Amino acid sequence: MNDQLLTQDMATGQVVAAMDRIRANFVDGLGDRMLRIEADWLAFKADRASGAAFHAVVSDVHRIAGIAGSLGFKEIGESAVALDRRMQGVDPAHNPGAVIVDLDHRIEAFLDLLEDALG
Amino acid sequence: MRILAIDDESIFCSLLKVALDEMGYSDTSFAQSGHEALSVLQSTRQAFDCFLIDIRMAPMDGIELVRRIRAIADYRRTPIIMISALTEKSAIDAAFLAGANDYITKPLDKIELRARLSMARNINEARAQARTLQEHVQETESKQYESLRFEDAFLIDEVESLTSMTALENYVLKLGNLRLHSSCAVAFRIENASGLFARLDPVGFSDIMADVATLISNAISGTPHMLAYAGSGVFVAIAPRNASIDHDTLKERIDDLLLQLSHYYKQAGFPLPELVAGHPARNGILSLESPTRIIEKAIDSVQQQEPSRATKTHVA
Repeated sequence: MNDQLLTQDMATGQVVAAMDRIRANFVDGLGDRMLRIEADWLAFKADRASGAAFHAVVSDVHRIAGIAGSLGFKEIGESAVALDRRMQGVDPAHNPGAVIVDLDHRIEAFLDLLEDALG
Repeated sequence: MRILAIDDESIFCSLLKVALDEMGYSDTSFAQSGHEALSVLQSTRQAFDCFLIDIRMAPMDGIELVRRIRAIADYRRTPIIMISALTEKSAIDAAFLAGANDYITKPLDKIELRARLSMARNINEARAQARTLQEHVQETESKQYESLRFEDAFLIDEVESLTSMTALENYVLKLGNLRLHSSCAVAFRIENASGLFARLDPVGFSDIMADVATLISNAISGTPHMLAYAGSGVFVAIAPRNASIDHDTLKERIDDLLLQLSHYYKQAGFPLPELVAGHPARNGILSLESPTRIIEKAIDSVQQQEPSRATKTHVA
């Protein structure tokens, strides 16, 4: 019985340790993700015809939306999901300036949130 | 259960690996793109029993990957569970229409994943049972396979457009009543199904159900739909609400198709199935009832329908 409990504790301990490693890995890579989002967003704003830069931002935000919540970063996950959804509805080739201004604010707020996670 | 998970985000793959290990699924493989997954499938000797697939990947997205996997004969019925951050109806529709059996939304919920994998295991068991049935009948052609019951919603392997009842229920549950508002369910009943079941061996009965499934798919072709066999000679289709599924037109199409089939059945000495279509059923947008009620309502509707005169004439 005690052996069984000990094995369970060890298994739980291994899962916790593995999750900690994955979480640390995510945080370590967050700086690069932030830089990429920022650079692609600036590239898109400088050249509105640059659909590839816009989609690169959407892709990075979407990836964060998929993992942050699963790793316990609830606020980042929810913000990423909301931003991802907002950007999905935007056609980068045909958008009024007001949409870009709105997205600009949202992306800035999102990057601030990521920066907070970096500590 | 051998699992292949495909996600282009390596951190998510690591996370999934830990979760699967914890649940006791240790025979797992991972690929970070659709192309990598397909080459794994080509090079692996032992088949996989379940796929976990992300949707938004580049250059090949998860929907295209599902189509390609379904095109491989060995994987036509293998459970495919989508795991995606996309919650839009269009993404869910595309996944199920491509052949997915289930859909989990990120962030990853371990309890949900465990339940879905358990469902996948049940699908595999049902497939194994269907295989046993085929092997058994091949060995002893005339012997009745006792475990197949009339009411069983067994899988009909030969019809490509047909999905399992479990996948159909998963689809409506995933949509929920709000998004299901733009869909309707239509059920179809074979009036003389119990007579056919009593008269034919299980394979013969299964063949007739496959013919009927093809006939229904043809009758509602032009409308994207999901069709499943619910057992007891009943089929259920989910289609867009605004689709042109007019009850009278549908009856006429079915009668025409049955007429075409009647010649072959007469030659083979098989009784023609008497097929009846129900009225399209819908759920209220703010309804508190379970989304799966739409399926029950469709079945209730078809149970109240009489076979058309034309069908009876063909049968006679």
